[in-house]
Amino acid sequence: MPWKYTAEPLKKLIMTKGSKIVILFLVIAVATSFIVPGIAHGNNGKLKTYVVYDSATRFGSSFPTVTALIEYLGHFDLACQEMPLETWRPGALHEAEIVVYVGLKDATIPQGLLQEMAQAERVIWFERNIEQMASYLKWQDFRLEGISSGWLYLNYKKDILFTEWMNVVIAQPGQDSRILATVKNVATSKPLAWQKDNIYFCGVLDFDQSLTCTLGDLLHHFIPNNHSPSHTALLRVEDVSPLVDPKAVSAVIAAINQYRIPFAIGVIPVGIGSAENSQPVYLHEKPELVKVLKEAQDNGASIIMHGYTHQNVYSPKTGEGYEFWNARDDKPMESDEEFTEERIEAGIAELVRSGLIPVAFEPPHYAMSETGYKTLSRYFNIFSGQIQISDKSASITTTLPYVTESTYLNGMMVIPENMGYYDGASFLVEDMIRKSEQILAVQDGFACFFYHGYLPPDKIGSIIENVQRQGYTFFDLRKLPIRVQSPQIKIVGQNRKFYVDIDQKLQASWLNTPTVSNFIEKVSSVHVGVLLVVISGFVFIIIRLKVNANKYYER
Amino acid sequence: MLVDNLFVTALAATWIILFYHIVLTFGGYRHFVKTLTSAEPDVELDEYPMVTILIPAHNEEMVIGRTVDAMVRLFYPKDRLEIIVVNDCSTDQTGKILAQKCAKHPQLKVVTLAPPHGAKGKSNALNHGLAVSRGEYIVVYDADNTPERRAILYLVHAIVQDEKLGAVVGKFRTRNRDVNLLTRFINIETLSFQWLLQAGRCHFFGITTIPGTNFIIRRSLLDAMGGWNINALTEDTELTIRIYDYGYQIYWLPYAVTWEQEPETLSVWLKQRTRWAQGNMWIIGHYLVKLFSLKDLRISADIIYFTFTYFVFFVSIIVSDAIFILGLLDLVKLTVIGPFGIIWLLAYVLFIAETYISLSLERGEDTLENLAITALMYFTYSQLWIILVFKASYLLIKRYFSKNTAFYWYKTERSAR
Repeated sequence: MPWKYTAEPLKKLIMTKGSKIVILFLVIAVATSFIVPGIAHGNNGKLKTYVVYDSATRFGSSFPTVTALIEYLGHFDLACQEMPLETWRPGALHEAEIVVYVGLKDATIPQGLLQEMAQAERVIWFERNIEQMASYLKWQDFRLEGISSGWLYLNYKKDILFTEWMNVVIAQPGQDSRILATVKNVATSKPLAWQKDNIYFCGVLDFDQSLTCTLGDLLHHFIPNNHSPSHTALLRVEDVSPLVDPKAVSAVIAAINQYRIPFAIGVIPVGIGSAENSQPVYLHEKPELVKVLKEAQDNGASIIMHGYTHQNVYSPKTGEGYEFWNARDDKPMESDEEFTEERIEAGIAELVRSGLIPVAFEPPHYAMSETGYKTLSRYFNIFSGQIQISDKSASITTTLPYVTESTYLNGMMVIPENMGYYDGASFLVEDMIRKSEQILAVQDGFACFFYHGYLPPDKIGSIIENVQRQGYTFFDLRKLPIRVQSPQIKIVGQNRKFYVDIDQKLQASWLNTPTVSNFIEKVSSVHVGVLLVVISGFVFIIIRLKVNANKYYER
Repeated sequence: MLVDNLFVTALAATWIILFYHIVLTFGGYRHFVKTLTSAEPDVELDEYPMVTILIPAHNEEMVIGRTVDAMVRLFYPKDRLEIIVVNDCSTDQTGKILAQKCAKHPQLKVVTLAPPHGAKGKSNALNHGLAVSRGEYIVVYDADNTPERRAILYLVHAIVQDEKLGAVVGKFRTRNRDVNLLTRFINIETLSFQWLLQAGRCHFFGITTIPGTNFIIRRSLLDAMGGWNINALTEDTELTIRIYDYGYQIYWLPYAVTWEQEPETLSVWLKQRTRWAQGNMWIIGHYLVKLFSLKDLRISADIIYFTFTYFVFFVSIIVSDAIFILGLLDLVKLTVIGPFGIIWLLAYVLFIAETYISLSLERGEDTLENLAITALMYFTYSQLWIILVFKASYLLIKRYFSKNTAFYWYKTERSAR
């Protein structure tokens, strides 16, 4: 049918008023459908979060407060990005869903930034400069009372005694607000944390013992999440190296097995004694210890690689020494990356060689540089312990009350250690239980402690019982998705099932005695050399024959 | 690990042989240089001993005529040369052609065998020819051979010089080398065999194997030994061992040349070579037990070399090929570390270099075409040897168990070229 015959009825249809509205609606719908996805949650479900700060540390302190906070934020499904205040440009927070502001010093916040922050779904504010936001939002009954100290308690669900001198920003939010926590003295009580409109405020950001659990739980009110309440615990049998008495380890494991709980064992693959020039003792050279560990593994224990030798040239005794940190000068090791790579690869190989499957890594003394962590994250996806969050000193660490996905550790999952350990002297069972009691305050808190494998097992039972009585269930690391990989070994774990892939040559080098395989290699190389000489001789003969061809073939 | 041990053992066994070949290559070159200076075209003897040429023939109508023509053209006093063709139960025109030749050439004598005296193999035919011969020296030629004019002269000249020599062996060339790829392969192979194995062993150890044709032997020695062994499938190798056992030596004379016809089809080739392989394996079986009772330890060593080649080397090649194929299919994994790829490559380069040297020792053969064919040979022609040994072993075992030791003329089919 020719076009002009269909055009007429079509024109008639378009011209009616009703259809005009329909078309307009359709156009708008199509247009917005391109825009709407952009507003939707980006980054595969993670909330786009900016952490704006006027100072990375408190004045006069080297503790990286902002870094520590970001580690705490790792418990939530956030895509975090740091933004120092001075780097803000208009439009930078355009797509932010959550903005965290850390006010550690007095600063003037540009109006444009306040405007952009206010437009985010939520603003989480710590400490100073809150009055500028209140002013922008025109909160009539907001009152900044200032910074004060000398508080005895904080009250969050219950009274918690402050263990340190705390400078708290007291800000009265006014009406239509919800007070989440307060600070108390004998006589007075002031708001510590509150929520008004989309602003969530906390007057102190500190990682002291007394505050960490409060902060951890408070964040659950600040940040949207669907975390269900749970209290999980992990027990780590610690510092099991080839220098340790297998019978002692066996006794500790037997004591734990009475309770039929899953647990982990921190294994050091190579032991170097205290004597000068003492030879390294490899795990595979200690069949009795390997037997104990393998049996534990078969019965469900998780093996954690606790460094390679748990020592280095600056602190040379296995079990006591730092490995990935220069403890003598309190700075990173030279050639950090190569040093770390070499040791981690060797450690994985030594464990696998002995039939053990490492599922996580724990640095000796939790000391590792930023480069070290970046390197580590290529090999392991699960980290156990506390985190050193600054290259300035090994003493700058943070501990967490729950499991996080760490930004500082390049995405590794951090299973925190926060209950300490028992040593019969300064660290006692009571101290450990007190800490796990505190962690109960966090709705999905994770408590972890360790027990040295070479100690008599008499105390382990009471710790386990106490922790269980508090309502904790012990956690099996092997339930986590495990990925351990080096150039020659790949381990993938899913739901307690493991797939271990080992490079053939590496496996061979374990089976062949070094002398035999070296011998064959040497002989083969000599062989090649001899052949090259022979072939040159032959080429010489051929050339000679060709050159003298006339003489030879005269006849 | 088992695979590793097998691999390393196979590699070691293979390389023992290959290193021996390297040594022989140098020996071959030295032999070439040595014999160059002694090859005088106008050599003259003080006296010309009586020589009998024995040519066993069974159904050789295609070639016998031309062969006889070549024989009568040989540069040697006619009255001192006797040509005996043994017509062993031929059912074709052989007899007729020979009769015609007899009429023309009085030197030619024909011994005709009929059943039951004939058709019992080459050894038997030769013994019959020997029985009626008058020569002080016996020269044997195959029925397809056309020797160069001075071949006999050189052979006689060499053997009279040295009374320790029981026999002297000349060189054989491939007359039909340009027919196809197979004949080109054979051409290269025969040159390589003679210039490396024959020349090399002769130079270093004084050992030469009789290749069945183009050789001269002392009549007295032959009589003392009782002639040819009619039970041997490869009677030439068998004769070689007995000559050395009698305290004599054999020399390889490269400038006494004969031209012969080689198989042009794979099936003919396979039959011929299977027979040779069978024959050699029979000899190994027969002499291995007597190894140290042989008088000349050099020939014992040579027998050990053959044993090594046919059994150990063969098995090693099979094992390393198997490991290679199974490795490709990922069924086994080699865990020893070493520059094995390089070693394999060098073995290949070595093969090409050695073969090219043997080609270069022959005028006109050191061509690029031959080099290319040599490179191809390694993967094709040389691997056929494996099939050969399998087939020969199978036949030998069958023979052993069937107790059928009857002999037939295992004759190579001829063409007209």
